[in-house]
Amino acid sequence: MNPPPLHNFLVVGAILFTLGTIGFLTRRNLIIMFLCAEMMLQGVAVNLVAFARHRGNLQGQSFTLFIITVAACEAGIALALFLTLFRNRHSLDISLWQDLREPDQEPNVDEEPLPTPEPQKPLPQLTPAGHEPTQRQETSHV
Amino acid sequence: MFNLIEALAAFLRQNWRIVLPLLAGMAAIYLLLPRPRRYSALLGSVAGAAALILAGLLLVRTGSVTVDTVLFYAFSGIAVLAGGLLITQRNPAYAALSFALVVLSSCGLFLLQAAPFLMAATIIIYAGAILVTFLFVLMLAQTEGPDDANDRSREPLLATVSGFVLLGILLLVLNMTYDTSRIDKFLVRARLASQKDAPEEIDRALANGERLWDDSADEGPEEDRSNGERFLIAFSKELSRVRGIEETARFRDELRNDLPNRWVEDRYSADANEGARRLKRLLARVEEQGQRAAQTHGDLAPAPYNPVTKTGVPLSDFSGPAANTPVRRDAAGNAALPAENVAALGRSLFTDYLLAVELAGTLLLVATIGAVAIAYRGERNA
Amino acid sequence: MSKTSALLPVIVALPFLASVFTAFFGPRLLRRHSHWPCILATATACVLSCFVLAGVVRSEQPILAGYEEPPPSVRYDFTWMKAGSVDIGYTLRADGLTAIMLLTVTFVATWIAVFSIGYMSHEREHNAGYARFFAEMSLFICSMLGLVLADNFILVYAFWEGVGLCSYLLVGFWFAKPAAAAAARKALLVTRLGDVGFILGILVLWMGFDRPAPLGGPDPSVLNFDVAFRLAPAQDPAILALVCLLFLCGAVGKSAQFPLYVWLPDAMEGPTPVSALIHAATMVTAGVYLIARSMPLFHAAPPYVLMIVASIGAFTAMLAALIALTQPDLKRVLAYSTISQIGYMFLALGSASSGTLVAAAVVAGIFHLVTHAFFKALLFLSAGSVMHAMGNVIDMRRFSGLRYAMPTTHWTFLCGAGALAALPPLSGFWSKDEILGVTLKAGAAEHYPGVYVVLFLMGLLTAGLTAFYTFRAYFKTFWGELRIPPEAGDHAHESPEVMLVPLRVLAVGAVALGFVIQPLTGWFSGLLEHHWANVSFPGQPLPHVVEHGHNWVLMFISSMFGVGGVFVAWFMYVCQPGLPERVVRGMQGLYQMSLNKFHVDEIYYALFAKPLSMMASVFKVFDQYVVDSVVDLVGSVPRMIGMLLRPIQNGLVQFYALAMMLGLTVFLGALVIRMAR
Repeated sequence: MNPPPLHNFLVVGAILFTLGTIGFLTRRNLIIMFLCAEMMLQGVAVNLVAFARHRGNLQGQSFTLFIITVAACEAGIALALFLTLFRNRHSLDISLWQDLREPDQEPNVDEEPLPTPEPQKPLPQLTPAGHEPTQRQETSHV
Repeated sequence: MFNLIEALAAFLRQNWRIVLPLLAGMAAIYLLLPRPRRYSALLGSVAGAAALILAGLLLVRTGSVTVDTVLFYAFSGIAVLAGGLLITQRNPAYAALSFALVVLSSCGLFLLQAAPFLMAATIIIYAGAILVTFLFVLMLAQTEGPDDANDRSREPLLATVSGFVLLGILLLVLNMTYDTSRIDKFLVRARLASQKDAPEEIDRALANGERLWDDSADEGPEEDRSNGERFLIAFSKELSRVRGIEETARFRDELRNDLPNRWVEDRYSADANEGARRLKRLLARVEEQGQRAAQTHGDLAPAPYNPVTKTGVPLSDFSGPAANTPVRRDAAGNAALPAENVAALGRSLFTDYLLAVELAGTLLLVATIGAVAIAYRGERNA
Repeated sequence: MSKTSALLPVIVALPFLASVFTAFFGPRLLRRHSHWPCILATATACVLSCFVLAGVVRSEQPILAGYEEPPPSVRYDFTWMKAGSVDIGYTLRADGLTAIMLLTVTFVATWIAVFSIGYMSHEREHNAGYARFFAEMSLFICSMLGLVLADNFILVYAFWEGVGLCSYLLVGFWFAKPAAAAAARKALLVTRLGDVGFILGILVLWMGFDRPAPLGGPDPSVLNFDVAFRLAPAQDPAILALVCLLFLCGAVGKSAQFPLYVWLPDAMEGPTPVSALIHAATMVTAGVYLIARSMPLFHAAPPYVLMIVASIGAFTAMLAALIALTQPDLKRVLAYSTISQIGYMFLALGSASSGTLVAAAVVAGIFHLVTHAFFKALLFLSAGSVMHAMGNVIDMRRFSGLRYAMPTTHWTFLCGAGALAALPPLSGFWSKDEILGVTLKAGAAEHYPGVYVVLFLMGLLTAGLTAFYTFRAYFKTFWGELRIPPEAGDHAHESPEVMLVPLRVLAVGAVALGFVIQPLTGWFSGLLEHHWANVSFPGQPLPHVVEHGHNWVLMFISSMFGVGGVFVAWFMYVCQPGLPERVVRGMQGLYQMSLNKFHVDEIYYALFAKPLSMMASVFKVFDQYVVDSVVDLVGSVPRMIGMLLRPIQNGLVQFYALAMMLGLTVFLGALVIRMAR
């Protein structure tokens, strides 16, 4: 009985890595970008672990542990940064931060309008029964 | 111009197994990426499903169906699917959940690769700690209504194309370096043939099933070659693609020069029983050497280990055999890993990687302080 | 290393340390007391110089410091630079010549420094540059001491430049004043012309001298005095003449001789003690010292070299005296007199045209240097005292009769003026007499006798002119009715005691020194002949030491010239105050020539400055329109490319990441295509 060969795991790692890259390049939400970066790390981790198995040593696994450590540090710092950025612009859109461009360049503005959100269907309600009380408000005399 | 087209056609003919799923995946990702005017989700989903199935069929080597294989397909399929969802989901909360799925399934892959500790650690840290913190942040940074951040993509076409071209290059390299599926086919054929008894049956069995060699390449005077000769020569050609150890290269030359003659000699020897025995021995040797070539396929050859000066091996034995020393194998021929994974990993970390562990700890501390310092609003802003 | 030789580095180091100390701690810590390090260091150096002199007199050999001594256990490795065949050390040397210079410099400088306390009282009260002044003074003195102590040409050159630097700093002490800044720049640039000659001379000496191969091991130090002097007689005369003329060029620049004298009168813009220091002790004498020190080279060179030295000296002496006749500015008169007197020293040194005259010529030149140091310092300090009292007015047309207001200054000025005018028996008389005597003897020697006779007559005439202009200044300043310019304000009175004491001390020197050390005791010539001539001409038959019999006829004639000049001045400016007007009207052309300094500055301007500035404007046009446009063109190409690439810098992080990604893909693709082939 042969286990799935090294090649298969490397292919999966490469796919995860590339998907992460594409997401990092296209998505504009800071948090999703960060998740994509983490997914790239996962792809690398799969790679390393597969090699550790292939070579029968523990170096790949040790490296993966360090990757997890670095990812944890990254997460802590990144979240703190995201909160600070959100506090400044009230959005997680990374395209709001393009101040470091050439001085006379026009800022990059999205022209296509976003679709107006469909009005939310009103939640089902019971039809009011009886009639509205008309008496004036009670006042406490205690 | 014509040359270019010809070269492109040749490339596609050679690598259609890679190109096809990639094209499907590219289409899927491009269609599904969020944008103000969306494409049909159905179209994207179909493309994505096609990409997944094609990749499973063409990219990943199919072997005998075992528990391992099934689990591998399941975990990697879920991982890739969740990865696709992660980058195409508009709602960041769903994206985070997809990421959790990616992490969980890649943890399954870890387990398949004999890394239980890593599996546990990754689940606890990623899915447990990091992801939950992210959800908290999402909750804190909630915005109402449609949002530029979630409903738009930056350069979807360019990014997708370049990403998939990169993936294609990676897969090409992997195929060139680590794909052993064709070697395995030769080996299976040899094993099947060696179960026959008579020399002519053995010879015939080598040609059963999928054609392993190209008949048209044979020239006139060699038309009446036996299957065995063709098999051996084709296998030597296959082995010439292997980037491996010295031993394989020697065996390859032997395959091309000596063994076909011996095959002919034994195939038509007067004593049929003796001939069959010899042919089986020869096939066994081919099988053994082929296995070895498959296992060492793609191994790098770093600076050789010098046993006198003890240089060339950077790490102690606690971390397993170093890259330039022979791999220890168990009875089944797989590389051996210690059963007590956590203990072995701990030994490795606290001997060979002690400094790195300390640095990583320091890094964590610094990151903690940094996160506090960055997130602290200060009195005046409170 | 003997005890005395250990003193030599100390003598140089003391003013240097004082300078550094004052520079660092003066402005904050010492403030009003910033003069103490300078005065203490200079005075100590003066005392130590006495010990050095005593050591020189005791020993037959020059006292050397900085050399590796024979017992290898006690090595003093003072190597400065060592490269290939160049081996320069911080080696110092004291012989008779050095000892005299040391003593003169330190003694005069000490009293000038004391005088400065009073003179710079304005700066002292306001703490404005007081510490800077004394730090620079100390450095100036240090440089001069190092110059006279150095035992190789490179070290001499280093201190030579140090002197130039300090003169720049001190002349430009009031750098906020445009005239002072310009004068400082002029001093630096003009002396720099000479310095170029000097360093070229050193290089020619090093390159051109033939060295017999084994000169006691790897002997590279032809730049050391002893080696150079020992090798000199065996050299190619042309090379030797070139070296000597280049040295002369340096000396001419530093000592303000024709044609490079123009910086000295302008240097009056510095504070008066600085002028005193420059004129008396630390700067202009450097050139005289250099020629005296290199006398073995000059002696070995063809005789026309020395003739050129003498001619330059005599011509400068006469020219400067003629200019000094009409200058209205007291300090300028003194400045031109300095040029004139240094010219006398050159004349003396240049008169060493035959072997028998070498010692006598150097004795005369250095003797005049010493006496001149005293009476010129005295004159400048007295002028400074006058200036201090008159509120920085120095124009003699604006004051007169100061002998009533400033009696002490009057008497000390009179002493100095008498010495300068060479009235017997003041010190200037004896030294000038020596010079005229040796020149007359050169006129009887084998080389160029006619030239030297002419030069002698020029010197004699100049002596009369000197007496006249000196006493013209004296009478105009101190005689006649009392007139005080309004700038003087309320301090038009005698200077404070701290300024008068140096005046008195130097006056005694100016009066008596010359008579005591030479004609009375013969000590001076003995010192030089035994402790300088002996060691400076190694391996040669010692030039015969001339007996210094007094030439009574010459003394009488020269003193007649001096007294005559004084008398004419007295007659013109005291007896017949209207006479100068008439004389001037009679010789309007000559008067204007002299008043305008023979238009030398203008000629220099027209000959050198004007063509240079015209060339500069041509080059400016070329630079602006040709070079600049090429440069702009080169610059605009990257700018155009930049314009194309600028939109890439749009500030979007993801865009940058995408660019990285594309690049990575392209590179990897190329790599894989190569691999697959």
